[in-house]
Amino acid sequence: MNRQRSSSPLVLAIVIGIAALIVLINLAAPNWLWQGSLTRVLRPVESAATTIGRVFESVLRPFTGGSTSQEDVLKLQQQLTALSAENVRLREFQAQAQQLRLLNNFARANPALDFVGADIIGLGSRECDNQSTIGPNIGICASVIAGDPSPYARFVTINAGRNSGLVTGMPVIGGGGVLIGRIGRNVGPATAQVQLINDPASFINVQLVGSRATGTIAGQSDGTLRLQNVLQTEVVQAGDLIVTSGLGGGLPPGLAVGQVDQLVSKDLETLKEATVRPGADLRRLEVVLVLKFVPPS
Amino acid sequence: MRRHIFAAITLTFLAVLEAVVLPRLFGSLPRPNLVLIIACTWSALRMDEGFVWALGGGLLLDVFSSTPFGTHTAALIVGNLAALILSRFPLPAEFFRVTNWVAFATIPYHLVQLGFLRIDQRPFDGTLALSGTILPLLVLNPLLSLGAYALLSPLQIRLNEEERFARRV
Repeated sequence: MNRQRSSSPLVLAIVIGIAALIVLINLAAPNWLWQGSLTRVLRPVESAATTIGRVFESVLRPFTGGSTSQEDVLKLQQQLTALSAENVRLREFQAQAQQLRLLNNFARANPALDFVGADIIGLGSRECDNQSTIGPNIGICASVIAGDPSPYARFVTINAGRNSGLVTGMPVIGGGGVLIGRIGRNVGPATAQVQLINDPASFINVQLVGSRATGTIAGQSDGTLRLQNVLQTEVVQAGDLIVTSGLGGGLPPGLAVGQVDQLVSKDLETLKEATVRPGADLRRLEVVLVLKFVPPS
Repeated sequence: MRRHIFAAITLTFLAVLEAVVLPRLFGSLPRPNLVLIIACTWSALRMDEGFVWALGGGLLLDVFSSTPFGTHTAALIVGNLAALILSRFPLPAEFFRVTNWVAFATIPYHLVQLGFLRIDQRPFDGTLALSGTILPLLVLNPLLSLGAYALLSPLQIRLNEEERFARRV
């Protein structure tokens, strides 16, 4: 091996100084650098690399255990997810109708009382109310162009940003109409980062469609999802469909998230916990829809 | 000048590969830190220039990452500094200078990232980070550095010759 050169303290000091300056600037003014032109410059490179990545993936699929039949399975899985989401929506309508019927019965039984109808906070954009299908006026379609180089965070970058009206916290829908994440803090002019629901810092208020039990879904460090904070008295079964509850106003209610996979808590514990199977394959996202639902600040 | 253009192109290519292609191919498996490998290999061969590569590569990774801006830059510089300090101690295998350098840099590189996540109040599982990411990469990164060494070593020889010639002139 060739003998290495000796280090120059001046060069090292300059390099360390620049790195320290970058860190300090970001601590003083977060996102200042992100919002610059760096992302705009790199966007074509990212898009090109994504295309190359997809080609690589399709070429390597047969060697990594995949085949043409696996593609069929993938297509069928996507169809299944879409049907499941539709099923969730219908069951959600049924459950809501049942709740409204109960409320109506209660109102009839108590004619002396005055009632004011109200929605759970965060019902969603009124623009969506009269839409049977997702239209361009309620959502922004975007392509996933990059992942996160850090193995400790689960974010993807999409090719829509502040210029398209995106703001932090907007829900992002993917793969057959299920919630896959929310717009993160880094929103640039032309790109934005989406915090996936399996990021360890992601918490979503949810509801089980059948039992109406509420809880939270938290992302785990290993990339899985866990349903938490469900009261022990509630019934939780494998296969139960999970939707957003709308509690807290951060997300509109009724967005499909996934299904209960396996109960992991014991009967003697105060709260129930279960693993959750997400409704979309979070590793293979290509096109997503950002809902123009602005969460309260 | 040509070698700086080469460095810029190589680092951009590897950063894009690390951020765009590897997450799709590896999924939740440990992904090699390509920019760390190339910057550390160049540091082991050319010292100061490797640190400049680490700075440039770190900035590029920060553009793609959701972690606070500067995380990867600081992590790469700290990783390289730790490897530089450790490489001053007598090591039994001088031959494996590059692999040692990359291995020594991998641990602080990840620890600094986790430190930044802690400052940002983002949760992580330390045990899983160690067993599922750091330890596998402690093997994978040095192995891949042999490939980086094979790529960069001829360039290093040529640069050394050019510098010797320039000094003589």
